[in-house]
Amino acid sequence: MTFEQKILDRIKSRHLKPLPKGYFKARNVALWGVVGVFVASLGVGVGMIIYTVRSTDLSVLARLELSASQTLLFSFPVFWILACAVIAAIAFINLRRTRNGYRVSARQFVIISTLVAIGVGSLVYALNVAQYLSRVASDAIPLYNTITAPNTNVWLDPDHGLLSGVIRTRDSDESFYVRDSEAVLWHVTGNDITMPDGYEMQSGERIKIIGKRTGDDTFTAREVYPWIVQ
Amino acid sequence: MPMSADALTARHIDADLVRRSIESPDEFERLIERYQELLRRYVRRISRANNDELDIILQDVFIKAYENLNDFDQDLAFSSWIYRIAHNESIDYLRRNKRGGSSLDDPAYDDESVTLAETIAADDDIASDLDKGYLKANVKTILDELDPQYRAVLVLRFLEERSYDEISDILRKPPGTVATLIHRAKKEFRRIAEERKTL
Repeated sequence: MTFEQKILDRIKSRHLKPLPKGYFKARNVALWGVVGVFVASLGVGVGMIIYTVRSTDLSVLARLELSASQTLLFSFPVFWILACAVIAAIAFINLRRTRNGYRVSARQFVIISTLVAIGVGSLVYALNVAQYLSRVASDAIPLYNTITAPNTNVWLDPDHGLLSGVIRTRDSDESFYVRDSEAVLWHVTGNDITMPDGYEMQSGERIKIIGKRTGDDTFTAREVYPWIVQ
Repeated sequence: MPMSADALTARHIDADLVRRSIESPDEFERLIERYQELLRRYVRRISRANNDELDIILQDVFIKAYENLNDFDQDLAFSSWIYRIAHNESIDYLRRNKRGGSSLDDPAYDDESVTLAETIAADDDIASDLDKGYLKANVKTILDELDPQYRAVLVLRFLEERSYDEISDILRKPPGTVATLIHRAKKEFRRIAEERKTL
């Protein structure tokens, strides 16, 4: 029996058939779908990086007497940068598994995905999606702030004069209520509170406050800053 | 790179045979005839399997090719597509059998190793100051010591005389990576050759 006949015999005896074209098409489409989802997620990650960076007021951080490593950790969105790297790696691995994905070099992928991620990320930030996601996640996921934005926790230390949260009700610039990320409602008061030029507090807005704790849920403000530095 | 008329004709014949094989397995026999010797040579070069094992690997290659005929991309040459399957099967075989077969004792390799030595010796990057007689006598051993991916690119480039684009399609790596792999494989080949010479 020739080699060719042996193979044909095997094909016939096992009733083998070519797998349907649709199977390969569906597999390729699914892989591209995964790549698309991960590149879009990369965009969201970049949006979160922009949001976290914009939330960090370096001039205020400098006054918090932090160590160099703390300043670095609080200035850079380390979690989101690492998350983006992992997401990009998964997207790249799946791209390589698509039918012609192997022709895309790592350098080409980095350039294309960076451009797409910056575009999507800017949109995510500009449309306040990053801000919304951050607020929802910090309410729903324990330790979210500690992991994703360590500088948030720096701003929740009322015993050391630092408070942050969302303005719930506002009587005036000198008397308002703030709900922190641990769900404590603080009554904040103060005279001649220092604020950035042209800044006006609004209910529902997340802010950072420097001052002094005066009770279990009362705080005297000396300086107030928006969470996102404009 | 523009394709030669022969290559274009071969591509059309292959594409037609693929279409017909999907309809009827008997037509697949022609594709096996066209590629079994080429693939046997390539698989032997990469896997170093003996003749019995080669038959088993090759049967698996053709069965896998048959089952995946609908995945054949008409933008590729069929030869690149089926070489890819053969390459993967060879690497799988090497993984299962760490040392591979016994190519060093197989006389079938002798003529080939002379050809390979001559081809490699003609490549200035590799053998500008290595003794050509020494290369001819040791090329098999040096190749066997190479990492399989380096062995594969040297075999594809110098023995199979494949273009960078074809090697890219066979190994599923970008053409730039193929160029880097070939460069590294040459360096590694030279390092082993020099190391062995000083022993």
